[in-house]
Amino acid sequence: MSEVESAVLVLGGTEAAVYAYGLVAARVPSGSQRSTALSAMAWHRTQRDALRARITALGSTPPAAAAAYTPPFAVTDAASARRLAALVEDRLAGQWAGLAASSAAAARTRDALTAQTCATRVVTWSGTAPVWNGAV
Amino acid sequence: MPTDLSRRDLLRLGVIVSAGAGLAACTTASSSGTPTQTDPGGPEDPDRALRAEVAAAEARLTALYAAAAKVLPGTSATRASAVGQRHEAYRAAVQPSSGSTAPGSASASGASGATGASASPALPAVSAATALTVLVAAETTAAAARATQSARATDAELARVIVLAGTGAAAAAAALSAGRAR
Repeated sequence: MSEVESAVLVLGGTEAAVYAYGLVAARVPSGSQRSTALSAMAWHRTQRDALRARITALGSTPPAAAAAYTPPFAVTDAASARRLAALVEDRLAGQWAGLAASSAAAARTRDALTAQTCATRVVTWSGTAPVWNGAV
Repeated sequence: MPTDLSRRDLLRLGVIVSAGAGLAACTTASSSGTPTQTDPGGPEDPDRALRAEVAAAEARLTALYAAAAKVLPGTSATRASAVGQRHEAYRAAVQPSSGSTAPGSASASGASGATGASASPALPAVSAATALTVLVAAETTAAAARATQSARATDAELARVIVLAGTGAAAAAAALSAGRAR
């Protein structure tokens, strides 16, 4: 997979994460968990904008975000919201690792560190540390 | 309070170990990279030195967990040993010739290879709390190192595996730190 193809894949995951965190923020208790969710949403928005610029710089056109995303399970309470956040972050960590592998060395370290940020958020939401991020 | 610390250690380590079961079910899509033209780890492999470097570092982490297990009581010691197996999986994944556990490729193997985790314990007689602090520091250092090491890989699949070893280390450090804060 080329760098631009990987970047488009991560962009899709990031758009989904922004949407997912809207659901998460609505379901977790107000206070620190909601603040964490909103902070994560803002962080993913920043990544999204950077990815769109990167895809453009690579000579391609970033695809538009979907109007809505369907979670893989019903998000009906705080527990399912946290599970969704952990799942989204785990998948993104794996996708960022793929992008890092496709990238030139200069960008690879930065992408790897971004993957690590996602991986640590998996712990934040689930309390577990997957051995291989993105494997589920 | 030693008893309290031990109980918390158990919880901290259990958090990580519980994720270990997922290793056997790794089905992630394979990477994106260009095919390796040479035998991975073989004499012609341009990444040979990098593979050896990362493998040795992962083996040291496995040994560190084994040493930590010696200063932790009971079940937490058992679990610390299990956590160390994560690093054995990463070690094997960067050196496929000694048994690969790369996600989306070969099946898991807990056996130590030629550069396996049989090193002598890295921790002297320390408390459980100190052992935990050492583990957090080691995982944090490993995460940073893997991010920079990945940039040196010429093989994209190797780069991906090293990046994932880094995400695993970062997550382990976060999980250990979270447990310590409780």
